[in-house]
Amino acid sequence: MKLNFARWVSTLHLVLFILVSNARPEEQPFRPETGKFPPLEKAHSYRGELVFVDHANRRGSIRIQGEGMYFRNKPHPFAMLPYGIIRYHNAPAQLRDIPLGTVLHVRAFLPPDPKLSAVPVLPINNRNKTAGYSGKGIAPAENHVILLEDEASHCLREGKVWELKEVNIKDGAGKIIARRESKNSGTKAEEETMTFDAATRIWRGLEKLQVADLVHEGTWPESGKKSLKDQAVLLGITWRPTPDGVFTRFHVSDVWLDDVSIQRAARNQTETHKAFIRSRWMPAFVDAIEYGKFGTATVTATLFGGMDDSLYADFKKDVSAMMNPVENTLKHTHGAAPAIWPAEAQSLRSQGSKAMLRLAAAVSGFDSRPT
Amino acid sequence: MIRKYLVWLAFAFVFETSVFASVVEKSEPFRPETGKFPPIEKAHAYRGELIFVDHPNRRGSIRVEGTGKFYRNDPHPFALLPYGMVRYHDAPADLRDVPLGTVMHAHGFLPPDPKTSSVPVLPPNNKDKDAGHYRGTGIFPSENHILLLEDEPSHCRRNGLVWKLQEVKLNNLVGTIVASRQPIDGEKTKVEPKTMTFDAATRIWRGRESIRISDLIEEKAWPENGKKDLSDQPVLLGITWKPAPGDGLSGAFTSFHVSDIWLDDQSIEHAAYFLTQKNNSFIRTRWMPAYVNEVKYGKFGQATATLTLFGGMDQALYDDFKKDIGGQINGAENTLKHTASHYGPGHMASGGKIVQVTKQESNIPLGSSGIQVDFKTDQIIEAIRPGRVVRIRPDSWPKSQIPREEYLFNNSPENRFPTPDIFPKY
Repeated sequence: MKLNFARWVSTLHLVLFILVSNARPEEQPFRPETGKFPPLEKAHSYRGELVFVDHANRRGSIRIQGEGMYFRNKPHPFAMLPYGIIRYHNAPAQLRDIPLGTVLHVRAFLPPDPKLSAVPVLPINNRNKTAGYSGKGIAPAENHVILLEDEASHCLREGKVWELKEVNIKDGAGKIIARRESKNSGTKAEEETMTFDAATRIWRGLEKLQVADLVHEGTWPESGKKSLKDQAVLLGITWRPTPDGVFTRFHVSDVWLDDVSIQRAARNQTETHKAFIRSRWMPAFVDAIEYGKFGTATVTATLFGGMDDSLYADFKKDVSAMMNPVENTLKHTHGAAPAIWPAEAQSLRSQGSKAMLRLAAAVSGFDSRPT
Repeated sequence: MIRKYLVWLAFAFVFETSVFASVVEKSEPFRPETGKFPPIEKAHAYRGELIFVDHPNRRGSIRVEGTGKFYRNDPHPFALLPYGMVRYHDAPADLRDVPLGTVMHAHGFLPPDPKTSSVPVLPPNNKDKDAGHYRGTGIFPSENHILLLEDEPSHCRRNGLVWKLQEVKLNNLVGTIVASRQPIDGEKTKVEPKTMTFDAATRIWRGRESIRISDLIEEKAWPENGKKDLSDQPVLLGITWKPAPGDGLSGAFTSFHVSDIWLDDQSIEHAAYFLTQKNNSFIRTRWMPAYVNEVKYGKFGQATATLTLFGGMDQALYDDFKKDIGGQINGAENTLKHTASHYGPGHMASGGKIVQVTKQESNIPLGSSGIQVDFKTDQIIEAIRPGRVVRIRPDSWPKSQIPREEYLFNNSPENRFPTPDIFPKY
């Protein structure tokens, strides 16, 4: 009997431990360590509309979708982590590339160092607090973002598409019923009703079409409902005020009807971003420094991720390069003439994503782990 | 002799006063009066890259093109006048619709009331000052209250201009275009051609197609490498700015970048269509802004208010204001924020009926629609006073809730009159 009781207690303990340990990644806010890349699985996920951008400081505000009246939710400030990645149209992007109003998916952590946070530091459990009619979840403390992506990027990264069930149209505007489905999953996601209007852009191959073009071609009806038979598309999503007392209904800004159309959008954004990084330089963490004599040093740096491969391919062994210190906002510490201050590199060896530079004159700011 | 001298003196006086008067009119900063639409001829015109946007407060920053090194110019704060118009892709727009980085043409005035300016108030002669540090003059004009803010294609279409492409030079999908902004019709004027960069991200619009540089090369319209004479091909350009190669001591300091090329009329009209539709939907949910010209009070809260609707919108919106239909008026600030809207702007607004619509046929100043509406209400609210900005909605527009940052709640002076503190001091 004693043995059975002990066995029962240990089983209960084991079950509780498994439950608690499983729940932890979902419930426990995670604070990244400075200089380390935190695991994406530990990030808190939410989505909302981009309302404000301070691109120079890599921060902004998002109106987060919570449980309540969406329009009442105050814009929620966020900051990009130095290595935080932004994706738009399934391509690397900067905050300045994303139109205000775009609904974005966010993966975020607590501020690595609250004292230096560029956005308000909130109580750790803030995501569980209820804010009046806005409901829960509109102001999480996890406001330091590792991944910010628009709907199309989110779907392509996760292998999902929107399956269009039905369109209901009148005077060039109306509603679409659709489900965001995994391409390979047998399970059915919940249906969402979204609005569209005459400003909705429809992309097909090289073409940018109006809703009126689809009506003209007979693909969509001029008036009334039509089943779209799970037509697989990608959607761009925004938010607009909704009549009829509906408080959280999103709006379709773009529909990509085929792979060519989204690939062309991605190519355009990729080229924009490549030109941006080539003129602002590749951000990286400093891993180690071996000091030599008279200011010479060899710096090992880890290049940040999420860029186009062609940018990384430019970092080759034995090419000359320059390195300049930056802040966590990725601002150059002396932007007026960055070419004067950085140390000239004599050689560069690439080790996967790590780069080693031998510097002729190390400048202040290359301490271990700053960007 | 004396008579001759007097005639000469009188002639000299008339000549001098007329010459100096015209100079003064051109260079004199102009301060608009509250409640009146200022003449655009008196605005100071400049252009620059949109850097920052605070769209709920209708303000932002522009890096203004001056006489020096463009990249060094601090972003210059601006505020839209209540009746200030934004145009993008030759269509009415809101600040939030314009991508950061777009080069915009601005027509600005001194702040109508410096005490309530939401951007820094500067000395009236600031546009003539040398900003130092190689930035030159003209980069921070005190005329930072904007009547018209428009992108390059909107500017060209409004003024009957096109860009005539003279030559393209490219290598590996990147290169330069030499072009000059010319009148659509008539003889070529002597304008110094501009050299602008483009790259693989430059979007080219033809009819309803979105194509790329590589498509033009494939079609042999542009060479794969080297130069080609483009024989003054007329196009519209979207212009941005990107850092030009150089080390800060040498290089091209003010070279603009072509983000878009519209090859034909259909393509720009296609672009304008989408934005017009977007703005129509925007105004229908936020309501039409207007000035209150006059209020005639009746008994027990009854009143008839005469309003002038602000200009620059799509005609379809003005057509919705018809005699004898119902509507609502809500108070608004100079930022066009609704003064109350926690349950939607319709919750606290004055309800009533449009009893008269009058259209002014000529001499309509920019900023005004030239349309006056007489609105009769049984219950007038505090904000509907002569000279104030209001927003009006005909009953055919939807009742909906607007986002939190676009209305006031528990009104405080800071909310009503945002201070310039948001702008960083460089």
